[in-house]
Amino acid sequence: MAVAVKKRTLSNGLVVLVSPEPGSRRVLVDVAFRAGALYEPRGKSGLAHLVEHLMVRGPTPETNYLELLERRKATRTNAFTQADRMTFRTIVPAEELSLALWVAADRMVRLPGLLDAQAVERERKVVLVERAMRLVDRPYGLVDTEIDGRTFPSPHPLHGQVIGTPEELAQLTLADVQSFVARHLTPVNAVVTIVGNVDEPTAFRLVEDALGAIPAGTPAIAAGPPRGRWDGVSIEMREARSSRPRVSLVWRLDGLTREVADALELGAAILSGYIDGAFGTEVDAGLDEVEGWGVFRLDITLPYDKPVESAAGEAEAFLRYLTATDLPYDAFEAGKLAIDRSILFGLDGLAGRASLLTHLELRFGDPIRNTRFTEGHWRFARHDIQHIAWKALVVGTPRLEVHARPLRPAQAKPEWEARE
Amino acid sequence: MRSRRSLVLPLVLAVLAGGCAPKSYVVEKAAHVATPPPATKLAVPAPERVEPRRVRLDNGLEVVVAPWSRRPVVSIRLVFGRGAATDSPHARGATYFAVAALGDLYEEDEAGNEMPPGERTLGQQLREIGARFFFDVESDHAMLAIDGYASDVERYLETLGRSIVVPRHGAEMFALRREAVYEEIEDVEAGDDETFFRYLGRAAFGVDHPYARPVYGNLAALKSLGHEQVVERQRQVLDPTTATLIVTGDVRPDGVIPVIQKAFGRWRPRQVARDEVIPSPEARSRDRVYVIPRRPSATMTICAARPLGDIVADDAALDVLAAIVGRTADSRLERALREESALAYSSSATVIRRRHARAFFACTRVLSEQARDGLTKLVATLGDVVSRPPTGDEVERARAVLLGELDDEDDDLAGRLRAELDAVSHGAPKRRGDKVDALGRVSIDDVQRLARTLLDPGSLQLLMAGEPGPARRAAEGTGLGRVEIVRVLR
Repeated sequence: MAVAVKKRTLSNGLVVLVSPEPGSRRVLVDVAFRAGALYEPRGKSGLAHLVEHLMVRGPTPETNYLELLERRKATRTNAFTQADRMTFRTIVPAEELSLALWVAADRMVRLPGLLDAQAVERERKVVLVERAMRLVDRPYGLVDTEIDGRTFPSPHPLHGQVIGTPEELAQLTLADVQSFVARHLTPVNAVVTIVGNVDEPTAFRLVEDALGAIPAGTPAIAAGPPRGRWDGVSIEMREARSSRPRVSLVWRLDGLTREVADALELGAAILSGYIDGAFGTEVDAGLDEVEGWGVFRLDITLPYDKPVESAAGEAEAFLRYLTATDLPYDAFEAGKLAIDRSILFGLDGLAGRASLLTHLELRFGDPIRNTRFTEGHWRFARHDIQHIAWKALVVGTPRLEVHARPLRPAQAKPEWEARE
Repeated sequence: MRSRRSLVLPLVLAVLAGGCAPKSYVVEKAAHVATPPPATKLAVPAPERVEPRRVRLDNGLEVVVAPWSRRPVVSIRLVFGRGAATDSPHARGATYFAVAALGDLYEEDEAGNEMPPGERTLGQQLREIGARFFFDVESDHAMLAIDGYASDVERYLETLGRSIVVPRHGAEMFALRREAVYEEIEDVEAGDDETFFRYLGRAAFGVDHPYARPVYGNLAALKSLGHEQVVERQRQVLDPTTATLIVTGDVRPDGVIPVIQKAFGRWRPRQVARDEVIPSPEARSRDRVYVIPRRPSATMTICAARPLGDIVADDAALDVLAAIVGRTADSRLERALREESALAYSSSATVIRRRHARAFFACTRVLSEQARDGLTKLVATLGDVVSRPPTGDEVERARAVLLGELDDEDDDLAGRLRAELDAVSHGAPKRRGDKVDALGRVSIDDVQRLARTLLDPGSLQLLMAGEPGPARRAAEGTGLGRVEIVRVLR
């Protein structure tokens, strides 16, 4: 499952990853900056995401990158912001790689000087619509907002999630945007990943030509873990957009080692895949990991006809699957196969491969030995996971417990007609 | 898996924390050329495309094997040629439950004996050998799907073949699933965007057309649906003469076709009456604005739609027009609703295709309190495409986008599978070259003529989905028609 990749660091600090795929007619170019929400200044949640909106394309015909790329048969041209990164992506015909790299350079060199207050105001409004769609109108969206607010209390930058709080979004200015761009969207904070129909020497040469002379900039500094006490607390919230009760268990874990993080990630993936979900209970678990700390979360969504009062018991039962010996051996092994398969399918496309390589570079600085990730799930036995999860999640670690109680009562069961 | 935040803080940056003041951003030192470069020929030649192998078994089952060997995986799709649109009027939803039952538990064996408690679902059996199973039911077709390791393709096909030759149709599982669906409908209306918008798109054919029906019926139909109707529908759906088996992945046709013959050769054709012919609806004059309640909702989805039964046009020309209206980055809707007014995060236009009909569907989504502005702007923008028809430049840009998407489709297993499914479900061209040629033939005259007829403002039905109060006020304030509240899932 190894992914062939070569890495080079330019003199200005820009990291370039190239993974040839001669079976393709296309080339994907990802430009990822260490410029996610974790890099936002205090009280300016949503700034990174707003910057992403403003940097996708510029206000002049020459900087309308989306249109320019489309004319040359680019697809999936997009940008996205996560906690740790801001990524600009496009897929172009192989012969248009130079164009995609020119856009990447122009975005760093010319576009910052063209930003204006009018554009900031427009994109602020657009972001508020996006927030209403993706967060307010999403089932459990407001519950998740509360969970993140408690897990990352203000002034931690994630207290308003990546998209930001409306109050802080309203205060962002053109100067904030310009300062963030100048500080973070620079070569020393960037990783360019190229996957597709190109050989390594050509790709490295084209990147050097397009981006090698841009000044390095200064390495960006991400926020650390939230400060202050983390107490176990249980709260109840009302959920208006789903009639299914949900319980969420959240642990903030300091002092995470690589071994513990890997074991928890694997356990979470297996647990999430264990339930069919056809008729009822759904399980969703995951670890959000930072260097040395992280947040583990387990969501149990119950069937409609289960009372919310039973949620706590269900959650404990699923936690036992992870931390005791309740998870059947066969299910555990099937879970590993499911992870294996999903990695293989993910690596079939250019986007999945690029995402993996960029992630490994940003997280570990080592995308070359990628089998550590693609085959890592085979190195844990069931008892390893359970022992590690038990120590991390059960022994003396406080947890946040959030019960989402549906606002709308479940429908009365219909009287099925007497046909059967 | 929920979307995960990957929080990275490289150690080297932590060491530098607080130590460095930001340098100024020195643009003028960059040797950056202001003009985009031309295309350059690269050293690696484009690969040859391997065409799928197509055979028909003696029982009528059509088989498509499309080799794709980038990774050792395989996708299998067994597509039944009957879907929910031809459910009997007295058994709406029967196709959905008939196909769902194939993956459920057996409750009795072939002799009518109760099955032992250890019996496993089709999904569980497949999961144990590393595969993922799911099913899907659409208006014109239904499908069983397996994704897994190429090395296990024989086991997957054998397992799938068994589930078809001796189908499952447990009464208890039907009752459970029916209750689950009954409950789920409420949530689809309230919060499940993906499913809801699929249903909203169906309304483009006319809210009372067979293609507009929810695949699992509606609340009233569910109450009267009986298990024996599901079993009868399963008999009709499981007919090899209308089915297609698609195998895409790291397999050799010569190796896999004999396995298919063995696994599916025993599947006997059914004597099934022909389906009712589904009419291709034509546009009607608008006299009302349909409001589909979703509450609570902070946003309002606003759509303009019309069936295309009265429109004579190639699929390619329709796609080019839809791209100009709402798919390119600088589409008319994107420019009007986002770039110029900041009302919407995204807007779109598309052609929805079914086996017997097509429909045009353009949508945007705005804040509830801006519903009136959104509705006015959407209608005005579509009208503007008639009065200020697409330019040659817009046609070329749309064509480039669509050609790029065709290249993408050809570039991974998922894309190749989608292309084969489109061919089966609504008769899209099977050969990529035919699609490229069709796009190449689209002229500016074709697109302008289409724009004039298709986007005739009086022929576009308007739908709003959100809080009924703001929707009603927005619609009544614009004089675009009287308001009618409809529940697409009821």
